[in-house]
Amino acid sequence: MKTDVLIVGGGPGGSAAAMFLLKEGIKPIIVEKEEFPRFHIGESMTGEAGAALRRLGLGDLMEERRYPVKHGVRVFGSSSWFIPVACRDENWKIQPASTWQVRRSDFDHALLEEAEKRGAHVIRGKAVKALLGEDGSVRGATIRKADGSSQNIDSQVLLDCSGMATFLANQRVTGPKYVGSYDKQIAFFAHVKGALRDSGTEGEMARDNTLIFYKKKYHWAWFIPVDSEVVSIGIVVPTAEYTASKQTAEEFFKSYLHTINPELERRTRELEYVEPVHVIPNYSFQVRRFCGKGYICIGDAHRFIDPIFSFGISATLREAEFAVPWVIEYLEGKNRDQENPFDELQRFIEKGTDNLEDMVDLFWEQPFAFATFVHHRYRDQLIDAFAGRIYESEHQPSPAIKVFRKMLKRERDYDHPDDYSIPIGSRYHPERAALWEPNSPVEGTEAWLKDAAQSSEDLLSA
Amino acid sequence: MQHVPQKLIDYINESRAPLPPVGDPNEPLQIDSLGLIRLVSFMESDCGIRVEDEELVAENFATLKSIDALIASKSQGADASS
Repeated sequence: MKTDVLIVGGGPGGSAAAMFLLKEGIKPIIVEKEEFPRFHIGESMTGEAGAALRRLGLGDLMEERRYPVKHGVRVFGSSSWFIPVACRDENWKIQPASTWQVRRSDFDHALLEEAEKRGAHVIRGKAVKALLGEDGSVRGATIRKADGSSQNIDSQVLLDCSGMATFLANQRVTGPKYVGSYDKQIAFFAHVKGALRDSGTEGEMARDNTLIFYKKKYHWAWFIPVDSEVVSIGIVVPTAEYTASKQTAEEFFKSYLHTINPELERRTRELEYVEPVHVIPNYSFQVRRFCGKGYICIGDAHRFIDPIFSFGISATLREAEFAVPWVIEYLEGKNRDQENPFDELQRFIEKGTDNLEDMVDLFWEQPFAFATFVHHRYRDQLIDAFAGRIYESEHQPSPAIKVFRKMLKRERDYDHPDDYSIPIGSRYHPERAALWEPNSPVEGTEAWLKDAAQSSEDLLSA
Repeated sequence: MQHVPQKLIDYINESRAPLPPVGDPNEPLQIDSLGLIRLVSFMESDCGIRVEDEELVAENFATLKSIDALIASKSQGADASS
């Protein structure tokens, strides 16, 4: 079987990539290993994620499905602040806007169905092997279907939208996968009824806003309405603290929930659990050389920083959109003689995500400075960053991001021969350096992550 | 506390209410972060003391002594450059 574009993964990134391609007359194949609907975490969107959906003509679908409308993010910690969802008009003036919160099982399913309806060919199966050309380019993938049969699909371009499964990185097609700065945390979350929301219809007090509560560094909680009754509540803590508690996930969630912040305690006194407490270890990682001949990794398939400010869907939708013009040029035969035909795209995406990482890091390292910047000094620039406007084409890095770097004593260098600098998470954690050096006693990040995953599973089954 | 203007000390004492006025310069001020953000605004607008972005770390505003040191470092800088 042959196709111009093979998309591995039918989550929001895969479906959006398909729909952006279909707008340009290209019919891709999407391979999805799971039957939808299926549970997934990452329920809140930035303003720019909402805007990307509207560009795909999905505004009506979002309204019909009555997804909660998000007007901003309220943060409760040692200082409290609010960042509204806002867009920029044609004169780059800030204007009020809104976006959505979604129950992912429903949203991802609706998006994939819509992509199929518009002409994408959806195949149920798991990509198990990357097919490589003699020059090392990606030429497709072997798909294993539910009935056990296998099929090769040849492609001109493979878009890896496999999320944290990081298909191409695991196939060692990309550069190495590095551990990021927030890899030692664990998240517990549940969908609940009875949580107290605010009661307004817009702005800071809008009832369906995202609320974030933090206790201290690396200890925080989210509060995201996913329909008119149900709220997704999650808590994130260092894994070691959970291990030391010797509690089950549910016990830990219920006892810890009320210790994070009095405001969260007030809102969660009488909860009805709609489903059991879920747990995921919160890996942060970064894949180098995530674009190359015949392939582009999108969203979580190459990088995951920290879930605190809900950038997951935003990054994947936008990267899907940014990739499309490059895919079209490649299909037209352009840039094929280059070592990395998508080098410029890769750098563009990396710089944008680095801006985001600097913002998240400063929030954790210097919360007081961060709050001051939100209140006055850099308010508009932080509104932009929270809305997901993090790319060079959006006046980034802004003076705010540059100040963050100065305060973090961090420099970003994009002229390194290996494309980019060593990921911050590894550079600033010398104890991990051995993992990445040649002849290291640890085989690589995969082995390291597998150990971490195993110990989390042991915890959960205990 | 030779570098801290009296009106800033008055402002700090008001911010701390109902706590008593600061006695010991090493005692933690116990002003919450929103209060600290207002304190920085006050220093800039009412005392003419510019606080640089990099100086916005909570430790610089933890005690009267640390605020004094912060202001002192600024006037020294100004002396050196003049």
